Amino acid sequence: MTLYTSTVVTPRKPSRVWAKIGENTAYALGLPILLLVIWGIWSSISPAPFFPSPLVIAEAFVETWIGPAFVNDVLPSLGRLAISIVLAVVLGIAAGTVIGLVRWLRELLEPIFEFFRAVPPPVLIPIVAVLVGANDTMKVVVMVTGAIWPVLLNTIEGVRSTDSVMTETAQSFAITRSERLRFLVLPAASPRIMTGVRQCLSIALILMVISEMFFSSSGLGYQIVFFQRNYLIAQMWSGIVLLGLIGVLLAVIFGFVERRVLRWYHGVKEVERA
Amino acid sequence: MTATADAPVIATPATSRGSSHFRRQRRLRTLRKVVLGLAGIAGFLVTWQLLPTLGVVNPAYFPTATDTIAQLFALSRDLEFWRNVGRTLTSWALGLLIATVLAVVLGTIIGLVPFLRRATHTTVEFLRPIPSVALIPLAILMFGYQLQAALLIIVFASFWQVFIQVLYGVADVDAVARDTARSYGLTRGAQIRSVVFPTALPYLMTGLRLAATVALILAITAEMFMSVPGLGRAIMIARESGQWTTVYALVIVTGVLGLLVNIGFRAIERRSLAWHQSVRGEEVL
Amino acid sequence: MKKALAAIAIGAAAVLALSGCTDSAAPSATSTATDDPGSGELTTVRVAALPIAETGALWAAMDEGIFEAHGLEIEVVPAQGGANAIPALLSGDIQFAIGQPFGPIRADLQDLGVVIVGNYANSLAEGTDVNAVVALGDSGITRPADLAGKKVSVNTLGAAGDLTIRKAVQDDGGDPSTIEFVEVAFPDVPAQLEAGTMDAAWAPDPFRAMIVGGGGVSVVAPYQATIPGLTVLTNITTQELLDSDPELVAAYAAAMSEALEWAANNEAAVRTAIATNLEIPEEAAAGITLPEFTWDLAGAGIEELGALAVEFEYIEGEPDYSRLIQQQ
Repeated sequence: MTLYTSTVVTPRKPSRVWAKIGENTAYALGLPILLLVIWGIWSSISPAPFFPSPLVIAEAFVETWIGPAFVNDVLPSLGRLAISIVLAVVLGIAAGTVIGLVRWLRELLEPIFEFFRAVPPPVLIPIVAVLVGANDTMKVVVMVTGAIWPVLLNTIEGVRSTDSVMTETAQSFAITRSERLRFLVLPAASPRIMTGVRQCLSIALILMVISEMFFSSSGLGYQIVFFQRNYLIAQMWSGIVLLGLIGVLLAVIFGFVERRVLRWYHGVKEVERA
Repeated sequence: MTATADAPVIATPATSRGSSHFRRQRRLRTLRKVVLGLAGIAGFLVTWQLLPTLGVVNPAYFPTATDTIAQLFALSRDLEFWRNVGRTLTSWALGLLIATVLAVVLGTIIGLVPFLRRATHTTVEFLRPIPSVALIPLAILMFGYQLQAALLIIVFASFWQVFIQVLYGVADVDAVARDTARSYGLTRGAQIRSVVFPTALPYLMTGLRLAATVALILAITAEMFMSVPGLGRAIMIARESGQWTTVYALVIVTGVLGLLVNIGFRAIERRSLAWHQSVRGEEVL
Repeated sequence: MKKALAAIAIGAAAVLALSGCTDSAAPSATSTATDDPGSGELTTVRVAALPIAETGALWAAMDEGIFEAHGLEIEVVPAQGGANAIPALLSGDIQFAIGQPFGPIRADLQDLGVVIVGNYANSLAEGTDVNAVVALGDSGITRPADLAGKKVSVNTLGAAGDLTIRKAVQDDGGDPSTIEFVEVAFPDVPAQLEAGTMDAAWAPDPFRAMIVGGGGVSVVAPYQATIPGLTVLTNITTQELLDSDPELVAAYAAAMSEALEWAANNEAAVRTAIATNLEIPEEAAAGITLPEFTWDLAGAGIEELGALAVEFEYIEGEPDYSRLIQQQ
């Protein structure tokens, strides 16, 4: 008997890189383009003063934001936004973990938290301005206090929901508290935490606008409100468009971060699905 | 996270001693919760009283806690105050209801169909960060100083909170459970009801809690800036004439409403998620 | 039995509590509309007005019955910020708005169809004006030129406030381009000025009086210094209403003109109305500097304001005054 060996030749699949990129772009841009076309047609059929056509908005966009306004207004606003998001996420996860694990702390602080959460920023801002000064710090404080809630609440819930079987297994293996925190509680809570971080991003952006509505004379949010008040409608819409674009950018960055942090989670899901 | 429908019930000393002890333990726990909560509030009130008294802030513009609470009692005897509370709560409730229904329906549909998920991803991410306050002039243009204008603002903001949570929840379905349901031949509707919905429910509840507070904040903000009758408008009118005790008394009312809303939704969450780990964990461990 | 007793107890407590209740909304909005012997049915007109002292003339005139005599029942909508009044006008939800003229100027430049049909109140050409730039006593700011290089607050950036302040500083020899303007709403001015958010603030009564009374200084009255007697508030409506219901506009114009003339001669009634509607004590209402109530746009200075705005590059060109200002 001869040992029959041969190399199995499988035909190489043609490269689908370009097709993939094209597919992704189509998904990303398909619906927006469709909506833009509908808006364009509608505004040419029945023009309304507060809803200019997309072309007018695009023109205003280029005129307004591509130039000195970008450096004077947009960049500082984005800087404050970045700092606030980082602070909100870090503080939210830290505080959420502590509060989620220590029950009496949660019961002590929860009524106060919920009380403050419900106070509208336009009322809170003058108070903060007096305590901290009507400057960048105030804006960052306002953004952080608003954006921290989704992260905080989701972290608390995520930490509380640690699977009891795993917790008891860890206990019976005599794993220390801090190791349990690092290897069990936080990773188990991370899907929930990531949901919270995703919410936090858009809330921070919204609060960026609101924080610049008061005691300000520059900034992206301030400019949008300025345009509103002075009936510069096309510019106002262009500002809203810019806000939306920044939101998309943040979401893309978040997508990368999430894929990395939740690699194990996605992997588990994929295996389960297979 | 796998569904924990089969977590073993451990015979802790509490359960082995009988149900009356268990009930007593639970009552003690609730008592402790209330006491601690009140302690937190008391601490906050003391800090508030100290700030104007010690001159950190000017008492002419930031009245002490005692003055404000006195004004609050005076307000509570005014019928118009209660009417304003009713108006604010009405717009809040309506806005939250509309937003939730829309979000659950759209979120479930989009979450279950991968094509829709991918197609709408950029649009969702584009629209989400647009602040409702930027849309105020447009809302007024469409509806004037009416309730519908405020509802537009409230719904636009609260919708996203619930929507995103539902999307995540629907995506988190345990593959084993889903395949089991399919192999048992359940119809699509039954699958959604018995597999997708329970998985998404915890996410939905968190979303509802977040959205409830956002809706309240926006109801009041809309009243402040769109002259819709309610607590927000009362706050602005009091501000214009420099009546700071009234302003802050109304702010306290706002905070209390937020607190009550949260307690209410917590109770609802506990009822509907009685089977889920995060709630049961309190009992067993 | 116990439950029934408890229910009765709660019911009694509720009745007791309700009887002790006041109703702050009872006197205001529903004026004496129903018991009018011969005027027939009244047309309801929604007017947006800020909840400030100047609206006292409208409130007092309503109480006096001047509008009913012209067949109109006025429903005052307490607006917050004039900026949203124009979208509300365009939506048709309100028929008239009482607001400062800069908004309509800008709206006209965007062809929104907004028309100023009459004046409401002018600032005062002599004596203590209705608003002023104030600073703390120890700020070292005594004259307009001192404002150069400082932080000055106005309630709305890009409107008549900062525009006239710039002009006043320029006239006094200072460089207005070095002023940093910030936006602080009038009610927040006393607290923020004390906290050092800005060096000087533009404010009307009662806030201006609070600061000056507490040791502050009045630096300049920008309206009086640049365009004496400049209008503070005007009556605004839409071209669409003018075209579709000219009788209503004519009736409103006649009523408002009579009301404003009456208010100008009945200061005490106006002050009482302010005290009642804003819920402030009588002494505070007595200390407010009232503007000159008038329907006549002749001395309003709107064209001068527009020219000034072009000079300081607030707007690119002047509005079409024949379209914007149509005195009724």
